[in-house]
Amino acid sequence: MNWLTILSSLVAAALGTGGTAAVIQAIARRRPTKVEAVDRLNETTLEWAEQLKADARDARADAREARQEAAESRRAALDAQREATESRRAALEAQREATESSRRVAELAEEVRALHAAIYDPNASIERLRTAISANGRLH
Amino acid sequence: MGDRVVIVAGRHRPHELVFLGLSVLLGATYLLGAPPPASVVALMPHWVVDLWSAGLVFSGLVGLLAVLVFGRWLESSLLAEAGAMLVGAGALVLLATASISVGGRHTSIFGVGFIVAWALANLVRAAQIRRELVQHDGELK
Repeated sequence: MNWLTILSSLVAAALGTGGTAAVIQAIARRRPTKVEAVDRLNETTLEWAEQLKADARDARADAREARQEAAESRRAALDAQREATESRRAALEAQREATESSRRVAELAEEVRALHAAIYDPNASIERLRTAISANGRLH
Repeated sequence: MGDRVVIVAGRHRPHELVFLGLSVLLGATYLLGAPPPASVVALMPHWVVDLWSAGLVFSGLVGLLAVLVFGRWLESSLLAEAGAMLVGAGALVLLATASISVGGRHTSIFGVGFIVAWALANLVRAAQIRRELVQHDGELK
């Protein structure tokens, strides 16, 4: 054995003994660590995770506000729809009344035309006119 | 967060895992009867060769278990990994010295360089672990 071999043997023995002692020590003081999930994360990653959490919180708040606004819009749309239905019903009613009025005006015009023709008939007489007009004053 | 790019590196170091696996494989093979490196046989007595092979197996096995299995006991697994690295480095120092002593001028630079690099990497890793453990002493308990 030369000096190099002896030296390297000593170094190897020291390393081997130190390593074995470290392993024995590791087994002896085995205990679960409290920082199980976090231990391998460095500071930047933790910062990043915090930022992500904050972003998620903001996003949740935004979503809640958007939901509220959507509900209000829905409510407003329903109100508008109800009002539109009522307006449509009123318009139909008004149209029906207008049609009825037109019909009555047309009837009256026809009656006036007939009365006018009866008055200007060459054979017209007061007696005939009296006979033609009924008790309610209408020509028949 | 803006446009900051976050790169999450893998948890395990592939070179370390592969060398630990190789260590187990080589040590076990020599213990089971395969001829050990001629330089080691030429320089060391038989029992030292056996111890050297057992050291390789021990280092690889403990290192792999510490890295892959016992992550729950963080402090202990790191300590065990450091121990495995030291034992491995010891075995590699013996091998490098034997190669240089026996090979003389015909020593394979690549082979010895590889072994020395492997041993150095083990020592650096052990020092790294020790520094981390000292720095976070108390936090990991």
